[in-house]
Amino acid sequence: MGSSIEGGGPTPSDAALVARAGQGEDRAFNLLVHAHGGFVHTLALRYLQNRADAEEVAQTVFLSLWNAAPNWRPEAQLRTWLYKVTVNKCIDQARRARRWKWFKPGDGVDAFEATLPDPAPEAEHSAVQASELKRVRRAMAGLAPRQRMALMLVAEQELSGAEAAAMMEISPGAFEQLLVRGRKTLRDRLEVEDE
Amino acid sequence: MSDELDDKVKRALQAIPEEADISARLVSDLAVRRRPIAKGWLIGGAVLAGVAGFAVAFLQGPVAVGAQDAALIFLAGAL
Repeated sequence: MGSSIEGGGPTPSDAALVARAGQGEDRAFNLLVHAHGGFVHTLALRYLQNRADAEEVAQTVFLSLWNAAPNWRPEAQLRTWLYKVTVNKCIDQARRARRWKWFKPGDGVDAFEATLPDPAPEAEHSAVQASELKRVRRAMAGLAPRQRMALMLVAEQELSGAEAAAMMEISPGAFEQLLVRGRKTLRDRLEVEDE
Repeated sequence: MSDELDDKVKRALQAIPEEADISARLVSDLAVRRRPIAKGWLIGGAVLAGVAGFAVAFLQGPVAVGAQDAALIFLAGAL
């Protein structure tokens, strides 16, 4: 966040900012969005692989925060709360996108891939590596929403099984099953593409 | 085996860069969406425009088809 809210004083904590946002203070809320917006949006973007959907999820997460702020418990950890809400809104959004995908033929992974920057030309094997990464992303995008999230939380976000299960609001046993199924499906998909 | 797969997933997803200026864009978009009053004005305005359209259509008789169509569009939008 960097700058202080009052100019010169110490940077207010998340809890203080949420309390002020809960009283309707726009500036406090905007500081929270500045501090955590990148994290929320990047998490959504890497999961959904769709810029419009990721932005919609990020907006609804912060709208939920705005609505929750008046009743915020001071002991609650904002980052954990944002993480959990983002994870669950991403899964909901992915389910909706699957339902509507036949009506949005130009809105898939290929369209998203076209918006990603090209690999650095000087990097050796960069084109081959980029193609391999794209193949994995495409296979990930085809997984069932909850399997995809389980795999992402462990592999990309490097959460433990217990932490990831808590984020998805499911039991550790159920999470483990999702993860095993997700890894198996992903491996199968990558093998099918290899043949 | 799963470590190798997880590493592939990690590299593939982390190759998606964080979007520049996203926080600033979120702040400005949220400024609109957080204001129920703005939505209220929008809906109220559309309802008023619809009612006005029907009033014009009523006063001018069946000729004012355009006004009637516009009224229907505004009312549908408001709903």
